[in-house]
Amino acid sequence: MIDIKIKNIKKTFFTVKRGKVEALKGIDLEIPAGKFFVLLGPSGCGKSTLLNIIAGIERLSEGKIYFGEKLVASSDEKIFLSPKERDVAMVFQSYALYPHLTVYENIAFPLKIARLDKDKLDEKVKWAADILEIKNILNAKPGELSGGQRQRVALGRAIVREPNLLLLDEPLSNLDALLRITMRSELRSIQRKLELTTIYVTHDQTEAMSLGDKISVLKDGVVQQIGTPEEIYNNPANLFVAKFIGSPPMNILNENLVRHLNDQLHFLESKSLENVVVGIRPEKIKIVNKDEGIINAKIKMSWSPGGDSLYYLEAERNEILAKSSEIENIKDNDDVGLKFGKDDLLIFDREN
Amino acid sequence: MREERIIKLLKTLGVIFLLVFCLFPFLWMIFISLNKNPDFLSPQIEFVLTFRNYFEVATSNKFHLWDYLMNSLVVSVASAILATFFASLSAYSITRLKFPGRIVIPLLLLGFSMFPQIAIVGYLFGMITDFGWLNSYAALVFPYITLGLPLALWIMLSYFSQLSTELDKAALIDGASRLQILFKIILPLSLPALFSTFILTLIYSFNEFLFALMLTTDYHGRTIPVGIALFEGLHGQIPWGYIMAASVIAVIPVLILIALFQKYIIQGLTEGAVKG
Repeated sequence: MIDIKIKNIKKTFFTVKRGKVEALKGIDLEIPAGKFFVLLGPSGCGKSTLLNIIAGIERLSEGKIYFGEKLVASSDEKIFLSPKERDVAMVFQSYALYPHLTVYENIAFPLKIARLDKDKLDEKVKWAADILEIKNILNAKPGELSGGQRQRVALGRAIVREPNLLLLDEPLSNLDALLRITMRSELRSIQRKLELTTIYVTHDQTEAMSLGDKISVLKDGVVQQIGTPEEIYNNPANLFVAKFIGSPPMNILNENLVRHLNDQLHFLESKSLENVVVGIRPEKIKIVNKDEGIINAKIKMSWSPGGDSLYYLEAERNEILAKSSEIENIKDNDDVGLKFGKDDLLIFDREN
Repeated sequence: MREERIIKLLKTLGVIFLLVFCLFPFLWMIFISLNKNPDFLSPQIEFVLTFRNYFEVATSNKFHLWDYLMNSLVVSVASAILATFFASLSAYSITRLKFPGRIVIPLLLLGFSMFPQIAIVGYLFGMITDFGWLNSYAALVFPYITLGLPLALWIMLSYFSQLSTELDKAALIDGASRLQILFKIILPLSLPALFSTFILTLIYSFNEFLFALMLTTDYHGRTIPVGIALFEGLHGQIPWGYIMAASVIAVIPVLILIALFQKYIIQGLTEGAVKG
């Protein structure tokens, strides 16, 4: 169990098509020992590049990486340790199992390379297979396995060495929805049991929210916010984070509506209307009878995708989505009132 | 319906034409090798079946058929193995490692392979003589590796570039060195490409004529195409019967090799089109 410190990492490269590309523009992160750390961001934000740099598959252009006290990569000191020297393990989106080897040989591969003696190797492989419940498929080849089983084998190959650091690159995105949820909780319990320092890359915010002890949101090679899932959800640092986190997504209110609400709630204080963007999460909106809320709205559509009900409303020519766990007796085209407090509104500076 | 039948007929005719076109020389070769009167240039052909031609070339010491065949097999197998080996090493580094010129190298190699052999044979002769390799296996093996390498490299390149680089990354993470990755992961997965590269370079070396003619002097080093071409008749006439019989015999080892590896070769040659 070690902690990882990442100091001002930059990565630039050149391509024929795009010219100079700045994939990472100065990333600072501290990953606490034994914790589950999630790198979250849309595709192309640099999260996989960052993961490869931490793993030692790619070189950084600038910056430093510490594993515990040990400097493993530095542009100034020209230090670059190989993945082997860093003792990291990684699970890939495509699983990257060796197709010509059996499950047993796949899991044993890193140990064989490390020249572990045969008895110890066998013991270790069985230990990993036991944790992942794949003892019955040890003689199969990857081609014969289902997606979920391949996932387990890839995970087995990663944990069998009991590495310093476990890196997971969108490992669940090729699984079907149901399996993804079960694997998610299993992944979490394995990580807790082994107390492995883990970095998990994903573009799926629900995955990030349910797995991470800490989440770092990335966009265009810049860290937007670092925090626990609750912090990120309740106090998003900027509009991008607020929009990216949460399902269904946050409502953005138009100027008209903001002015109208400000007359009652006075949340703008000294800020001027033109310089802010105001949002509210769908589940913070309560639907009440007409004239009993802060504003009136009309129900355009409602549906219940199992459990929660979603309402598609219009207020002040503003389309608003509300989410409620109670099934309310409302029909389409009903006029209703919307109720929420000043604290439910999220206020951001308008970006240019 | 009518249209379909016409298309089918045309296809069948096309296949028959191609088959006849390709196979006729071989059938003619066999026909002459079995003919007692092998003067096939004369307008009236009479066919009298005989195995004498085969018997003569196989048993008579003056033909050295088995020496030539042995030389050919040693030279072509050795050069094919080495060319395939070097091609895998270079294809791996070109597809996986970042170094300047990695896009230019395969193109240059392709360009060099367009040089007519006759242009370098004079210099090559001088070089091989200086090395003291004339009439030895080495005199042919090294030039053949060079000749086979462009083709070998391009087959291996197209195959390697299809294998996911995530496998390399995974193996790097697992602690393997680049050479370990090549030998433990990439090559076992590239068997079809290895076989087809091996067979194609082997056939190329097996059939090569010009270098073999220039760089060997007698049956200690001479390969079978040159050996057969230099068969002499009693009074300087061309002994067609012996030539054809020896040619038929010379084709057999290559046919056996192709039959053995056929499954892999087809897989290797078509792998580029349909992902396996």
